Amino acid sequence: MMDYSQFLLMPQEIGLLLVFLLVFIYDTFMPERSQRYMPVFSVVMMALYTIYCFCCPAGVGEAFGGMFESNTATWVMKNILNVGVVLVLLQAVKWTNSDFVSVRRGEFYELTLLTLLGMFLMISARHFLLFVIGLETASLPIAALAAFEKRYYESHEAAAKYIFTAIFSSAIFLLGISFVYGMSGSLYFKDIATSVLGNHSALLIAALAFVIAGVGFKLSLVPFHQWTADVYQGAPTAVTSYLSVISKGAAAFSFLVILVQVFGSAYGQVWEWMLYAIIVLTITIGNLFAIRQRNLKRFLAFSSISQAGYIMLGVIAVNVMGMSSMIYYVLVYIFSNLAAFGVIAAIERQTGKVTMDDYNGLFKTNPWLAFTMMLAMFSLGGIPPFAGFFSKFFIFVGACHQGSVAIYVLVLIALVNTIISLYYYLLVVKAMFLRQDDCVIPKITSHWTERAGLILCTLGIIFIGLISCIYASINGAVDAISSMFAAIQ
Amino acid sequence: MEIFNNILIYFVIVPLLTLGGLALCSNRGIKALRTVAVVGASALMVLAVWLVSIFLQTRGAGDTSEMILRSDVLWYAPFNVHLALGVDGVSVVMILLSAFIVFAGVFASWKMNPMPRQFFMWFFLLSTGVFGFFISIDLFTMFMFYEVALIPMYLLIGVWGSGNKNYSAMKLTLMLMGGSAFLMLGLIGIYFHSAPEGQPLTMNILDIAHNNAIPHSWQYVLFPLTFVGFGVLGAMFPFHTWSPDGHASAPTAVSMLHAGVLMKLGGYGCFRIAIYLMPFAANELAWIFLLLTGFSIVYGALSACVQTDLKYINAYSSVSHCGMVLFAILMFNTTAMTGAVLQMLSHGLMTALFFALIGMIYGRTHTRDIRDMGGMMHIMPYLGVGYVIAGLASLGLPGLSGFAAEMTIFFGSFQHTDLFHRVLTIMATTSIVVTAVYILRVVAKLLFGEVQDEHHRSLTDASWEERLSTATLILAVAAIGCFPNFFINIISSSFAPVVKALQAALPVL
Amino acid sequence: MTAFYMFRIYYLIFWWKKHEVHDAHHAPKDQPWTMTLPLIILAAISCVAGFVPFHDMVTWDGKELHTALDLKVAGTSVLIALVGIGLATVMYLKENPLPERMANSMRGLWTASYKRFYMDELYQFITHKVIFQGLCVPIAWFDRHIIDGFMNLLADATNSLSFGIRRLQSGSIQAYVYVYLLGALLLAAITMICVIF
Repeated sequence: MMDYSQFLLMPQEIGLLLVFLLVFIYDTFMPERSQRYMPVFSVVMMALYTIYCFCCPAGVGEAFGGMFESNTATWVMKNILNVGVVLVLLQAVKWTNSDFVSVRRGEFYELTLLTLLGMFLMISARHFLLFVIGLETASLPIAALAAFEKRYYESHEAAAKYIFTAIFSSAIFLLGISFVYGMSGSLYFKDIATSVLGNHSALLIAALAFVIAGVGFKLSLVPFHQWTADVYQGAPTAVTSYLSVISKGAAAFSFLVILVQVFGSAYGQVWEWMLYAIIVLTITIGNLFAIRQRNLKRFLAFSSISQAGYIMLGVIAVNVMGMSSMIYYVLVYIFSNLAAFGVIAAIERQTGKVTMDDYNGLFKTNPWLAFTMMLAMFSLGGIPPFAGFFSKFFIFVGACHQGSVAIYVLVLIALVNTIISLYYYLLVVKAMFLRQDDCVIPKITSHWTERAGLILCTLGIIFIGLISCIYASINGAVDAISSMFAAIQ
Repeated sequence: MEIFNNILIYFVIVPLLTLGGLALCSNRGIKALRTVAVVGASALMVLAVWLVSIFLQTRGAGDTSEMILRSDVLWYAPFNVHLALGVDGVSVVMILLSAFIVFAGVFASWKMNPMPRQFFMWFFLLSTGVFGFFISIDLFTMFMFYEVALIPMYLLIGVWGSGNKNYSAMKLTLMLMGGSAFLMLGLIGIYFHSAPEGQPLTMNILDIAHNNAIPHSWQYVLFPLTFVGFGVLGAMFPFHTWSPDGHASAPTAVSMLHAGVLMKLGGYGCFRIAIYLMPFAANELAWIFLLLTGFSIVYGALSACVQTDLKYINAYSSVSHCGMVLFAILMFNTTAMTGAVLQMLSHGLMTALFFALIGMIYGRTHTRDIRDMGGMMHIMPYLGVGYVIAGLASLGLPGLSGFAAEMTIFFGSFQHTDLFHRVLTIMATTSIVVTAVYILRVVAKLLFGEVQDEHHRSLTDASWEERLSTATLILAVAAIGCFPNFFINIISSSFAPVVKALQAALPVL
Repeated sequence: MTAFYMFRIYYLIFWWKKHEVHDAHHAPKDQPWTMTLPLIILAAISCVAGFVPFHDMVTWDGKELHTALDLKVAGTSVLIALVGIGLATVMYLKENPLPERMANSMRGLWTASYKRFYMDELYQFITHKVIFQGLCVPIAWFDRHIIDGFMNLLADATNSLSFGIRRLQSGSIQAYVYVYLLGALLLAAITMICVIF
């Protein structure tokens, strides 16, 4: 007899499913004339659900024989992702109501919510089967979303490139898991951890590398990153922004959980060194490619690659401070990146312009858009008093808390890279404020939803860092599961 | 909240309020903007003077604690980050200096065009950072304010600058941010060694200094990181190259604030963080930085001799004078350190005066090349006299600020009896002569030479706001020169803990 | 000596007969107050300067700089000064040919003195030729090209590195997959080698 009370541990997933169903019902059964309000309806439902999630207490415990775990940290992480999704959906309202997209707008919301559900499963999974289900649910619909602008060739290209590399990386990931299963005879994280203890076989190292490759694909870590630029550039901006923040945040969290819980006790040293190399490559290569990009979406793609490297600093720290800094970093990154993508989307929707040179002199005609973009760039570049500074500082502190000299060197490399990244973020500011152009983008009247989204992002960028209780609550939530790190070292 | 009873917090709140006030008058005319800016700057000035009187009273009443006006509010508990405020004599005079220069800067940018509102907003954001840096005694908050003060420079130079401004703005920002990247690593390192094993880590400077727990092996790494990190802003050779380009391209008020106050952040940080917190490494490694700064004193002065752009001359002269600040700090005795702070004050005021005058001359002649100008003394006597006074202060004429500062520095430096320090001191002293050479060269050519361009004859002398701006600075320069004791009394008591820490860290022979 | 030449000037300007004024621009006239006022202040200050306790001001460590009036030194210098003044009075009080004659009698010394012992030429040479050309110009060049050039080189190197690696991102999906696979295998291989050996 199944114990149905287990479902009480997953209020967030069930709530999300409800939102999805409501949106689906609205999309399917409401008359054509009221379909216009469907995007707003989804945003409102999602927002209400997010608020509800903040109010309901975090369920702590395991369900389904230990496959699913809910704790304070997963609760916080899911709430942060919810906030991000509300912002993404809000910014997409006007776009989904535009001429060529409106017939399929239902799909956009449904698929997005479904992938979010997949990510929730990834976050909470403590069994590789559930994790793979989550991973695939989170991956495959993205391909459909990327191909959403079906009149554009780039959109198709993005979808094709995404789906092929996603399938390939899934295959590698599954290969890795099958190695693990072969060695340990179990897919439960905890069982694997105990059975591989003291077992230093080449097969397990290969498995570890393949698992890192599989999740590294979602995080676009170098060298598993190459799809990023093309997909970000070709996909509709709303999808790109979703991909760059939400999917990355969820993957980062589950990456940490897998590395610590599955491989932490036996292979802590090994994967830390693997990750070390990957972080150095990711931050540097991402930055070097970003310098030369003129297309802003492609530019943000490379910037997001290097940001992923910074996020990984919180993973390599393997301690409470690192993990809470990582979650905080994701939160700040959501707000900063969505502000940037919001501006890009608003301008692209009205003028179709996305290159940096098009933004020359933007401040003259659209001061508020330029201001928001500037804040986003400053925050991404880690400049105080904006939130990005705090998150960068904390993640560096979290990494250094681990204490080894090698980590200090890594942080130094990351810091030198922040200078490079500051350079290209300032290039955007320079285009908007310092340059003049004859064919400036004309005054744009943005839709109220876009404006609301941007205002929320701006407020987030300014205040998330200054209000310390946000970080404190994340830290408290992670502190509650600090036993997770006890097994290591 | 208890912290609002502390006068120090208002040094951050007032610029922020001014910023907000400026943001609100978006559709009002330039008059409203000027009013708000002047009110903000005057309020800061009043606060600064008030602070000095409070400080004197407290010290007069026999309070000998290291820092006064302490306040402490927990900000980020997981990292033990506090909003910790407190001042000693050095920070008090630095705050006074900043208030003066902000005040003069507002008047110097009276006719700022285009977008005066945005200009003043960034200007006050910059001042927020500067004041915040001087009032905090917590590593994190200090660093945060430090960076807040740096980034507005990019837009201030990039949008309102002149010449090769894009290049200069980017170069200045990236180099200074490069410095602060090293600094950030240094600060994180200090944080993790801030307390003995088993005690909670802290970011409070005083606590770290009292704990004195940073292992010597770490000090060898962290001291150069922090010293170089701040040294970049202090224009230490070879990290000074942002300074000539940056100053040449910046608008007047920004040059004033940057050379006058921001570069002092570097010296102040070297003293307060690098040396105070890591006295062991400071003693061990001082010779490297003494060589570098000693070199940069002479190097800057000699480079200034052949420049033809007025701002370049002044920028290189700043390299020389700021080198002297760091040089004196590294002498590790009360006299030289007092001289260093006096030199910070003196250089801040006279450089600001220089840049203000250069800006005013440039605003009229539209050239800064001394080969294209001459005979300005007849055409604009007020500005000419101001320039001569600034020049005389710079070359150390008794009665003006430069003399008091440099004399104290060299006296202090010469108290070291070993050959190394003496030779370096003598080398640094030669810079005074070179300074005289390049200052007099400019004065002779620019003010008393032949009029090069007939159009220049029709130019007008300073307007009232320009007179006010420069007169404030001239008075301050003369005040330091005539009453150095007043400032020395405020400053010198603050060095006792630092010198004590340095003495304690010396190897016992 | 100082007393001598100061009084020489004083007598020459105010006691000797006026020279013919050729240039109307240079006609001596009463100065504007802006010039008079500072002069008066300076005069007043110099009258009392000796009595200002400078030793109070020029201290740095709280202790006063010890100064004392040594009557012997002071007396001697006052005496010599008086002698100088007297000599000047004799030679220059009235317009007379005495200075002319003395100049003729000591021609070499006078010329050298008139040319300020050629010190100006020497200084001119040292400052312009040695310091400016020989020291300042190379240093300024060094600063602009070597030091600043190094900073620019860092930036340029980053830029060209970025340009150089652009081919790594080919746009072809086959290449993406190869890189992915290669990355994963290399990661595994290198780690294995490190762990096992």
